[in-house]
Amino acid sequence: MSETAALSRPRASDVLFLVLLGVVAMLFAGFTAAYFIRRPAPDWVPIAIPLWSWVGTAVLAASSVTLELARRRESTGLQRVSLLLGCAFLAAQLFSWSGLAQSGIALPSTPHGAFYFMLSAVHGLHVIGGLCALAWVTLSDRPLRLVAAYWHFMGLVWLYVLFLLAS
Amino acid sequence: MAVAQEHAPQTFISKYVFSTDHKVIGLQYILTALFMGIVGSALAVLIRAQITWPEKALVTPENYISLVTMHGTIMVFFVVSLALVSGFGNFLIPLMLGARDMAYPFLNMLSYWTVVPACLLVLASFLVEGGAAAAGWTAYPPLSALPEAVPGSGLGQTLWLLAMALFIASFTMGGLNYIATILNCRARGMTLMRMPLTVWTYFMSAILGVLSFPPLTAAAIMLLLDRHGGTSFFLPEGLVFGNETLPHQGGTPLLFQHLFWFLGHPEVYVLVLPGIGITFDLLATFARRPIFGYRTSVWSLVVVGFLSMIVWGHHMYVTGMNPYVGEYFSIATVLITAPFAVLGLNLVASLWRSRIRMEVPMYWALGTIAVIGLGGFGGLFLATSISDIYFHESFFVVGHFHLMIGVVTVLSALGGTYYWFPKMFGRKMSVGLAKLHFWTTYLPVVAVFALMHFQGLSGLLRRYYDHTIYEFQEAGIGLALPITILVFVVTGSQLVFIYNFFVSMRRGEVASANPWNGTTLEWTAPSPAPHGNWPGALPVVDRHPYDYDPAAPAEADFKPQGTVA
Repeated sequence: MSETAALSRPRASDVLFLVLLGVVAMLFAGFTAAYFIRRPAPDWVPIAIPLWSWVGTAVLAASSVTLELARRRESTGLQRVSLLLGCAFLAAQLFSWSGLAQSGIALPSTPHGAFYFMLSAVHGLHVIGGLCALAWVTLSDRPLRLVAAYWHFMGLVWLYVLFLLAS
Repeated sequence: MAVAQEHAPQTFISKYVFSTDHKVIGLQYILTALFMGIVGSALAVLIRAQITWPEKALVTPENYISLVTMHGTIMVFFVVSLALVSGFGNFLIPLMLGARDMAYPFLNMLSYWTVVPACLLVLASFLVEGGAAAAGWTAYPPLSALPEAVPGSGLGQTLWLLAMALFIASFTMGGLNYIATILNCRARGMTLMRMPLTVWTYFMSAILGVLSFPPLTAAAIMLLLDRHGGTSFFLPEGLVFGNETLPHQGGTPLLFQHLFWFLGHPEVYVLVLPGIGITFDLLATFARRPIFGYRTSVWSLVVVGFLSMIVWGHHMYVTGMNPYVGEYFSIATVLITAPFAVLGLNLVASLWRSRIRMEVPMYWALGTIAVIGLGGFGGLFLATSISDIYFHESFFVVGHFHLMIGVVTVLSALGGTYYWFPKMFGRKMSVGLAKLHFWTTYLPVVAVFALMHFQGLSGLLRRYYDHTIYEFQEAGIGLALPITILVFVVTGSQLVFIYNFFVSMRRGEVASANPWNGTTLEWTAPSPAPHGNWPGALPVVDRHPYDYDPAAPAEADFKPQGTVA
């Protein structure tokens, strides 16, 4: 509202964004509760976290760094690099899935595996959303601030998910 | 600034169908809820008919549990949520805050057009093979997780899940928009502590909604994987279907119940709080005095909101939970009575030294207060695990939760409709028909659910297809016929309302901008409010929302919260 712009209020987009992060956080909090309740069951057979997943984690971390640099230096080139790294992360996740499938671990095989597939898929969908937003601001030359913050947040969520699954 | 009106949409499609105007979207929600309410009421009548005349076998046992499931789902999510939270919320928040529209009008439109397919999916599920979902509005596994469990567990349950996914997406978009609008788009001078209590309740309701729905989304994803991916999040070992043991093992249906009620309990407050907020606003206008204890009401709302998120286990006392856990949930639940008693006291005390004008909306406001007290009283017995274990499977629970999330919400929404109708359409509803509607709704509906408490006390169990074949349930079944007759009266009475609503829309008495001499900002806008809400500049707020003076002469006993230049 331009008519009330002079008032010292938080920006509507900031409010919307922060609450959205709260929604995503609560989604993963729900999964966390399920994870800890399901884990003590006798049929819990742990799986090894696939190597590709660690590669993906490194790529995702690198994309956060390049995106942060892109934001600070206002560099479209680095923005495009981050986009590519984001896609590379998703590819690594897909490789990790096919690796698990090749070693005979399907969705119903073990609850640990089911959580791995499910959480990486839900996180991956959120990353795809972030990639779309990133592509949009890159192509239309809009401010990167909130998209970058979202991207870092999804990076942290992935580290959390990985910690949960690997611990 | 006539800017707003220059942007007013012109074509029928952009003005009434794909509109981004919060008032049009609010009415779209309300009318959608009205339609879904007719469906939900028809299901209720069928349920009552089956309970009352089981020997006629009006429906099959499989269809009966579908009826109960879909009645609950439709009424909670597609009637009360849509009408009271999304409908009135959209209509009122910008008008009461002195804003041109919601913070994100396009998101608002998207939110409405996401819930429309959800409604269609719910309705379509009655037509598919096996019928509609039958696992209760709570969708408990294993009925909801095994597509072959009962007829309704098949395609009907899948459609139910899809509809709920769309509903949650829509409701989350709405909640984000409410919070952004309330924090960002208030008029000059409208501090948080000057907001009408209605807006405060929508604020709390939106916060609760966006925080408590995501864990249910997580549960729904796991349920989908159990149904279609072969996983065992909620399915234990040893389930036998036909003559085969199912391969699932290790899961626990209790996990779903926890995740469901982590949403389910705050959802009750998402629905009830706006009802209380609307009652506060109606009360101030027709008692002609400031609300008693505005600040304590606001802080009580915040405390209620917080407590509502940590008491979900009281829906699960009979699951064999650890008694210490049950004790915690009992204590936490009973704690809610403290802030709630403050709210109730403030409502009643707002009548003290007032000058009551018994206009139509006031009937509903006073009626709502009484029901909050009655429903809350029954809640004490269900909050305490010891008594709940006796009552849990009985009609006592049915009576209690209908009073709170059914009657309180619908009474306040109806009161709100009579109150804000002039702002919506520039006309008033017929007073005679409105009073007829009130008395033929209020007395029977309270009697229906009060009597159900007594049925529960005498041991009548809920969800039963035919009570008469169990000797131990005989004591309560005698009340079934009187209750059903009263249900028919209430249902018929709503036809009077619908008639009054649609006829008054075109032929009602023309209303002025401020027909009730109200103080809040929506009454400074023209009736009906144009696109952009105020033709000129936005109002500037210089006082608290309820500046009435019962000692002043009748026509000069109020000062509007803001002035329009």
